[in-house]
Amino acid sequence: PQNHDTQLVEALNLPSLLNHFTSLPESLQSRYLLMLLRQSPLPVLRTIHSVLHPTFAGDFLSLLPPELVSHIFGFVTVPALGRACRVSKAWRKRIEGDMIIWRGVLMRTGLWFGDETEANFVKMLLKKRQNFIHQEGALPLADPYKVLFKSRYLTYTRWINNSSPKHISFPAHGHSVVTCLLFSQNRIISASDDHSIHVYSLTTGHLLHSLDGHEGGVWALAEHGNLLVSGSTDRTVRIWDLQNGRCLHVFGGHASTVRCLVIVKPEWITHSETGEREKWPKRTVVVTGSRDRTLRVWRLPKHDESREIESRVLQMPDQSDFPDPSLNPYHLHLLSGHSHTVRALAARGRTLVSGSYDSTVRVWDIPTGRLVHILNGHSQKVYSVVLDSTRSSEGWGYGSGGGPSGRAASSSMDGTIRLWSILTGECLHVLSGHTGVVGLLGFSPSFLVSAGVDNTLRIWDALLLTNSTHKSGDLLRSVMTGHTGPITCFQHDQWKVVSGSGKALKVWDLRHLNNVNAAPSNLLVDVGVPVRDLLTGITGVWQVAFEGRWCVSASKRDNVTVLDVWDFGKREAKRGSGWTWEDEEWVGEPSNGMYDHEDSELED
Amino acid sequence: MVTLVTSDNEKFTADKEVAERSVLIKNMLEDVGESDQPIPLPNVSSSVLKKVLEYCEHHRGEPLPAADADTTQDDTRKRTTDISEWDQKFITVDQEMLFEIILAANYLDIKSLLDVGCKTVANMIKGKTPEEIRKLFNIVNDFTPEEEAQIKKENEWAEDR
Repeated sequence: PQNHDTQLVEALNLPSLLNHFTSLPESLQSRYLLMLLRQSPLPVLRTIHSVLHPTFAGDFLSLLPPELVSHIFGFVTVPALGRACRVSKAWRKRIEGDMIIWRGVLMRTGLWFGDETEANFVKMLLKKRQNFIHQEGALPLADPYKVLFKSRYLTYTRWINNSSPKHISFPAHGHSVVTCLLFSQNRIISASDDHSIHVYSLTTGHLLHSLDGHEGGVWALAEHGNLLVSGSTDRTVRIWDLQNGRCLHVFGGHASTVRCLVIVKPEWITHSETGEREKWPKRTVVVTGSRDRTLRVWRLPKHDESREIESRVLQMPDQSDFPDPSLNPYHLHLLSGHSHTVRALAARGRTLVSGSYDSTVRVWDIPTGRLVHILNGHSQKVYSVVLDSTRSSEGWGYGSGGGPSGRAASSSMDGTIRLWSILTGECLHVLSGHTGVVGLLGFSPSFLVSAGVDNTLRIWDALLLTNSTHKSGDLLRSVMTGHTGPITCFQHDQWKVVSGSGKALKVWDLRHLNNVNAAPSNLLVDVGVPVRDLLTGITGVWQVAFEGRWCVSASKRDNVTVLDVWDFGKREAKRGSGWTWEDEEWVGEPSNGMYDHEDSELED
Repeated sequence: MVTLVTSDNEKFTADKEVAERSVLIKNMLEDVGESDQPIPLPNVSSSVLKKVLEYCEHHRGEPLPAADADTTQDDTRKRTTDISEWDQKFITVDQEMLFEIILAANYLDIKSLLDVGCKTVANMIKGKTPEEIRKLFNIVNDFTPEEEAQIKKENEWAEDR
């Protein structure tokens, strides 16, 4: 080395060489150097390269303006974005915190739904973060759109890819039928015709509370935060505190079985004429439908409001605290007009839709209790009504004619599904194809799904449904024929259907249906193929529900009622116990797009 | 012909059709009307403008994107990172020049060239580990080992499975 240094000093001391070189014009310098490089062996070139590279390499995050950095990341794939977050603190902050990047990712992956679903998610997350104490020096939080993308992406992929989700089973309600099954935060709530309502832990399956009091089978259930509302064959409506399992109120008034109920939360609605935004209903209400042919509208008691009367209820647990609705301060309206059992309800904003065994569907204005339309067309009992929650251009407020706007669908024993304009009351489509009773309906932004006793599920194009010029036959996107018995229950979202029948619980993939942009006449009706059977060899599935990473079902096995819970956020390791991965940040979105704990109550 | 003057005071002449692939230049020409006045481009050096004009010359006559292309539309349309063979060869330059071209394309408002540049950077990141990305752009890893582990776990979901 000593020798080398001496040689180098000598070389640099060649004054003529260095001076001569620096005096050359740039173009000649280049040619001269190139000539030298051509004479150089590989190790020398390598050294030169390692010196030259960093002088040109630069962190473009600091070299380019922010909008161009966002533009670059707009071309980066999702896996590469994940790795880029790990490069440095500046990179992580830039990528994770960039709303433009993640909005772009949501849009180009087809996971942007619109209709304020994204805004609602962001609102929910920001609210949740208010209570979150950020530790000093901790890494900054991701942009809400990133959390949303991650959550939707996992919902999109894991339900299909995770072939061994964590699965627990436990017996519930003895041998009885489970009539209702729903999620409420980290709880599973099941109701049965054995008069009981059970509250289970979603993660462990432990029974947290048994809500006792009903003297008949429970056939209707809805939750709102920590409040649960139930309706029973004992003719009463009960309000429960889910935190301690106590009954807060017993509302009397219906003269027969309470068959269906909905909770209607206040939401912002744009007045179609004035353009003003108003919140309807003013307070959260409960609507109940009964075999006594009537509907009743009640104000949902506030949580703290209930506490005052709590002691009185506990003294007389078997009696209604308000047996007479005319003396019940929570009772708002009695809606009569149906001539047979009220079987199904759906409501948003001011709009209430009821379906009855009298073959009619009726539209009501909730705040006034006024009948707006009688929708005639079905020739037999109506079993199900749903509202199209995504295409309500004026929201669920008054339409220009003074009535509510939006679209509703109803299904009937006559084998058809009808799509109605709530504004005008006219029937826009009659969807036929099912043979026999169509008992179940569901709406998502892209699909209307129907299921019946003919063992099939049918997927209809919800986007084309908005246009009454299409022939009803063109609206059918898929017929799923894998079940060997009548469909007893299903739930769906943009990407999947989970359906139960006498023998099996199946998951169906709808994702490919989202990608078809062809004209309806060019569409071939898809024959759905189930992705997997979650349950087989059973005697019957009573109910199924899913939300985010979770799926729960109630089924009958060897004459015993069993609840099954699957967690698609965990994958069972091939051998032994433990989970190969877990996604704690998989938040999920409620199926109706509405979150609990929104500022749903107006100040008086 | 149009005369353009760079930041280092070099003059370039180009066909109007070629120069007008830059929306900025096109608008400037419309503003001044018929005139032989040279157009100053104080944000572009001669070495970069030479490359930019080479690009515009090659793509002369091709349809330009609509002036007010909706940015939402831009997000919705499927983004490919494919670059044509000629563009690929054209954009094979050192990083400094690449960033200069991106900046110039942005300033001159040449959307297709901006996309070629940005796609090229995006493609450089694709398929690389965080360490390889650091090396590529001369970035120092400033995470603690604990943070590194946390962030690795945090982003596992994004990997193809």
